[in-house]
Amino acid sequence: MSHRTDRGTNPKPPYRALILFFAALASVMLIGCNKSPDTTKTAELQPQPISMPSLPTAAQGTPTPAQAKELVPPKTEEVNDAVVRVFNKAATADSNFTPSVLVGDFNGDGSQDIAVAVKPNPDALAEINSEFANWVLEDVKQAEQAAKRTPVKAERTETLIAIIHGVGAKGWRNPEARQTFLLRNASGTSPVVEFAEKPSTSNTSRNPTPKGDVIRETINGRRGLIYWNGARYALRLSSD
Amino acid sequence: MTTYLKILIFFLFTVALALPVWSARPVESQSATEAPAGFDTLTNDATFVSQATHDGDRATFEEVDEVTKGLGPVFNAQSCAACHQNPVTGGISQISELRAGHSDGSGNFVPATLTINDGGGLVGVTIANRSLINQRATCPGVVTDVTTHAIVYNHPNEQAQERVPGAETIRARRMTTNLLGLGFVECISNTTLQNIPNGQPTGMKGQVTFVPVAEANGTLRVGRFGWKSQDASLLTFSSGAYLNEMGITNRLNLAEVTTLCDDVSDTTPCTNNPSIPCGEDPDNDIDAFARFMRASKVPSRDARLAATASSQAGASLFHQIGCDVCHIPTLTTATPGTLINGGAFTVPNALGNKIIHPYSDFLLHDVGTGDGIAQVIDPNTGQLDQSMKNKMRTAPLWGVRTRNELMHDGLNYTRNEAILRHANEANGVINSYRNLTTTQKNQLVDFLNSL
Repeated sequence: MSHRTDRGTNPKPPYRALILFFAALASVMLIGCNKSPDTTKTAELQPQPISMPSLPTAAQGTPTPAQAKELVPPKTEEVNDAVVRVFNKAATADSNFTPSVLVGDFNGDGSQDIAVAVKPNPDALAEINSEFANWVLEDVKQAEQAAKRTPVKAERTETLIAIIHGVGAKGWRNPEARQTFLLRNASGTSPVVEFAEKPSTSNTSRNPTPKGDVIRETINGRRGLIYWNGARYALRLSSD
Repeated sequence: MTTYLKILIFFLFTVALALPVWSARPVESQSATEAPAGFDTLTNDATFVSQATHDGDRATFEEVDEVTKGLGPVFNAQSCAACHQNPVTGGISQISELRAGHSDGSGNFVPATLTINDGGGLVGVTIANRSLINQRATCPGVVTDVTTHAIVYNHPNEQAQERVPGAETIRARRMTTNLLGLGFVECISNTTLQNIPNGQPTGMKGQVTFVPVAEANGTLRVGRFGWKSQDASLLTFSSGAYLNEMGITNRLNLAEVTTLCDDVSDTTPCTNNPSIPCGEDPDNDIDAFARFMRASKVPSRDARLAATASSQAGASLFHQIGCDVCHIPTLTTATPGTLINGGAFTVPNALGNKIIHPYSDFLLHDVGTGDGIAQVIDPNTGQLDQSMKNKMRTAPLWGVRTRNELMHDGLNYTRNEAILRHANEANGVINSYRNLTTTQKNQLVDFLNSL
């Protein structure tokens, strides 16, 4: 009994007080923790607008015609390299087509592009026409006629125009330059590049303004121009 | 026994010390949960917005407005759902918008200025500095009541139809965007979006926009909605769209684009608070629109296609070649209780600490598809931020399986063409795509078609 009495006399008053204090503290904390998160509102950090330094126009992705106009004549081997880079063995440059190469900033991004006449290799027509080809095969006559567009297929003996978009300062010579639009019905006669600083179209036209340099040529006896509309190349004939 | 008591005291002491630390942990660090997904018009959480309220909000979203209710004078559609419906109300559509402007002598984008009412000797009315071109107008027009046949709108001679002048040589189409699940996007914190570029490689870092929240007196927030990330709040977006797409003024946008042939007062008080002018929206439909979007579920995946080996291989390729640098698969919303939109909205439990899969960083990038149009005001200069004119917001790919016309202008019809159209910042990623085999490209497209 004395032992129990001893136990009954313990804990000593300071222990009891401590236990009560911490139990009460824990209870208060628990109650606090049960509050709905919705009631503990914290404002999200406000954005800190950054003063953007004024970038060179080219760095903003805006075309600077002067850059694209400093043209170094393409060498045959450079052109062939570019064609192989894009098509591997599916197509080759058509040296019989004159001129077989035109240079300009056709998509207006400030980087030099190249337009090359190519022929599909006979045993690679399926690859040229593949849904998953590495180029976009399109008919320039259909580009602005979404409702009339039909599937485009290249033919074995056809001369196509491949426009390879340049990347950065090296333009189409850049090994990274592989974005290519392969154009049907674009191989006319007497093609010349008309640079973007020359007004190439009337502002009063309903037609969209070309985004970069254009290729002016004669197709089936009619003068026309091939231009980038922001998504693809389109043909506009003189009476349009 | 003294030992036991000491242990008990020590335990309670430890608990007392630990509790404040535990209670201070953000809820976000607790395990976040997946946001509800589905194209089903059901509320994402009935404790947030009841199904009855959500149905009512959807009805408001689908309501066809007439000229007598304030439609126009210039507008694009008669209801929100007219442009946001596929496959259910709030989704996408094949409808595109027209924007226009021109470059000044310094190459800066200048929004279009056009003249209406300039035919037959009428006095022209100028709509200035506005890149959005409305395709429809209420006048010339005479409208009769279908029951009484009385003339209720009588403007046979005025001409509000907008026409793009030839001098506005920059013209661009913009496909209407998906609105489902945007409540979750709204609840992504500024910090989360602002930190994204830190994880993106040089040359691919997204541009963050800072845009005003109308209901918070123009407080700036990180933009995330629209093709140029020009909105940050769904209420601000609703208000702007009600005015700009349907011509209906509201408490956050009380000025018409033009008052020509406009009969409905723009000073009508709000029904629920007569001290505030609500324009042509006395019932505050804009609140219903915002609540509808906030209570909508995120777009669901095609579960069967997603489960195929091809689609899963495509998901791996999507990551391996780096598509997910910008098309970020997973983001987590802010903690419930966080005040967002300049303090005007509190993240509810239904939207907070949720995992979403938008496949976007909601930032602006130059991938060679820029349309030359600047839309966001630079807060430092008060002028249009010209650095973003050739950038577009990374298109969120959730729900892309419901879309046929791809990219911001809808000008690509196949997934392969859309991918190949990416250039500039995306050039390296797309060259990696070009290096894939046809089978792998098919797998990647299967994956995209499952989203």
